[in-house]
Amino acid sequence: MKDILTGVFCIAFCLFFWVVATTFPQAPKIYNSPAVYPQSLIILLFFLAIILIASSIRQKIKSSPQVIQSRDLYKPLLISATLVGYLILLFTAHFLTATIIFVFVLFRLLGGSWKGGIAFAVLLTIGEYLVFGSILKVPLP
Amino acid sequence: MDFFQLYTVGLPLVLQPDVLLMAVGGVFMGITIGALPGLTVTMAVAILVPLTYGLSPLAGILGLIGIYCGGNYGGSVSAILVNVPGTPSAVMTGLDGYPLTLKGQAGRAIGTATIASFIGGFLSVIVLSLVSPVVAKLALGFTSAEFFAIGVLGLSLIAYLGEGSFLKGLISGVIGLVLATVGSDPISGYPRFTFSQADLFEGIPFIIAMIGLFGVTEILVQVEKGDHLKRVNQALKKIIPELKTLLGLLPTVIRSSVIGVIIGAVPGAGGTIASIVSYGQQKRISKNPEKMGKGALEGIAAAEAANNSCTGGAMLTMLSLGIPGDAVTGILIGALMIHGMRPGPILFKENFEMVSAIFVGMFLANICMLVIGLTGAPLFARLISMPKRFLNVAILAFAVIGSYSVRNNFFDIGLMLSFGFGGYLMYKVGLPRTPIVLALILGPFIEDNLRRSLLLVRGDVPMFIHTLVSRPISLFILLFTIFLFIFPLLRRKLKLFQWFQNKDDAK
Repeated sequence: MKDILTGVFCIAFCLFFWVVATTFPQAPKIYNSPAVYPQSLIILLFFLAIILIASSIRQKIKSSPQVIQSRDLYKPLLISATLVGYLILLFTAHFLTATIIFVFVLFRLLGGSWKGGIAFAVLLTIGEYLVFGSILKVPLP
Repeated sequence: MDFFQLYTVGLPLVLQPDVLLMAVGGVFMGITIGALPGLTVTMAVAILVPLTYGLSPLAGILGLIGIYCGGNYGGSVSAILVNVPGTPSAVMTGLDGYPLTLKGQAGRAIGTATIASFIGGFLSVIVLSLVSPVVAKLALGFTSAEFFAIGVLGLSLIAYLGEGSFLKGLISGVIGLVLATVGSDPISGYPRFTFSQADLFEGIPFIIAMIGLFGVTEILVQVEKGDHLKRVNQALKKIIPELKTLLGLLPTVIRSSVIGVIIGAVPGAGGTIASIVSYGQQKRISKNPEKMGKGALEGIAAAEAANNSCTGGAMLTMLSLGIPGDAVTGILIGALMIHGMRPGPILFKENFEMVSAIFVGMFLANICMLVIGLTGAPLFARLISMPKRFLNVAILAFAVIGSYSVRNNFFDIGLMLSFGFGGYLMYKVGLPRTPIVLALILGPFIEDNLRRSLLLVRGDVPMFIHTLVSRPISLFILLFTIFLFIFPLLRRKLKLFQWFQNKDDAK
């Protein structure tokens, strides 16, 4: 099942990029055209996706279908949502405030204690600020 | 250039305090990351590349090389102590290391692994420094046809990074090649697939993609698997083995190092294959083959010397030809580029001080690995027992800072998160991530040289093919590439190495 999903995604990916590539200007000589190289790759990907789907269907007939493991999927999704929240927070709040909140929330989500979360959030944020921002001169958000 | 100039030119540069500090710190961090099962060296290097911006190029690069060298060795610590290899290349080390731990001799096993790793790594740097200038000199005469062939050779890594499926590796690689076309067309300058987003005109920064695919994805996978602790209860004693034992292991170490350097130089082969081949070879010629797998020091020495000597082999193709030998050297190419250098023959010509300093720095990294490994083993044993949530949270925070610092914009953080979540979905459906990054690095290089070559023959494809096969070097490279593409298929047909095919290649 997951191979079929992958194949369908690849075909959708190919269609999208193909349609966009058709809007590129044509050059007098085909080898100068900006569309030819990506379109060649898209054709290759399309055929590879078809092979993947075909081999998956053949395997499905031979054996039991593969399914996507959804064990504990909610945690990675929560972490991803937290990361998006951190990005939004960085727009609106100062780096130090945003990072302390982000680290604390993430630490709690991963099973850490309240006290440990607060201490770790403050220490990590200040550590990052001093090491990267002050010593290594890395631009911080 | 004489033999000593290979090292004397770079020595004063390496002896700068910031460079020394980064090299030592890098090795320490590498051993720590390598020792923690689940955290990959590739991830650590990818995340830390942008954080080296504020440093001098040499300090930054040697810090990353330190992580690479230390990480390769660090995997052996957890393999020996808790029978969970911190890196896939340490899988053979655990076969003999863990039985020794059960016998109460964990210290002896770690000591042997450390010394074998040091000798393997040290010998590989000697080979690297002697052979790479010769290869680079040869490559100076290359035309766009040869460079195109080299780019395709680099892509042959895909055949090895498919994590069990060659087809999925190819799909992942081609997706990466399509994504590599995002940005200005190399000939006409027309913006392709940028959707009027100015941040995409220069293409997708592969450092951003790496941080997302290796950093964020890796943590999401870790979170899904859970925070399982591995307790190490044994006190580590008698870490340094007796001199007689060491001398007895020396032939094994040297033989395994040679195997490791050769395998490391083949794009994509890497430390896991080197340690398996070397272990197998040792078992074949051992006087006591029945003892291997039950706590034989020669097994540990063979595996560790081979997987650490791979670093020199992988760096050889990276420095002299600009082809990554594995995922980490792929990222190091990116690191050199953001510090204004392009690996390959030109680097030897225009920036020999840097090349020489890298050689010296790698010697230094191996010495640091020996010292830290022998003295810090009890500390790394305790780190294995630490809850991973601390590191997971810190890594995600570093990933955000790192991706912002590449071009100082929030768009890159969003792009990195997209790659991170995309990488997680790829993991769920079984698509390997490394080929995408490899294709993002090599894609523009391949397209540029392919289209330049086609321009020279006015788009005449048969003439282009004739040019490729009529030049002996490009013909050799293409034949070698075909071999590398076919070999995994043959290997599968012959049902060789099947038991490690499902191992994660990302480390």
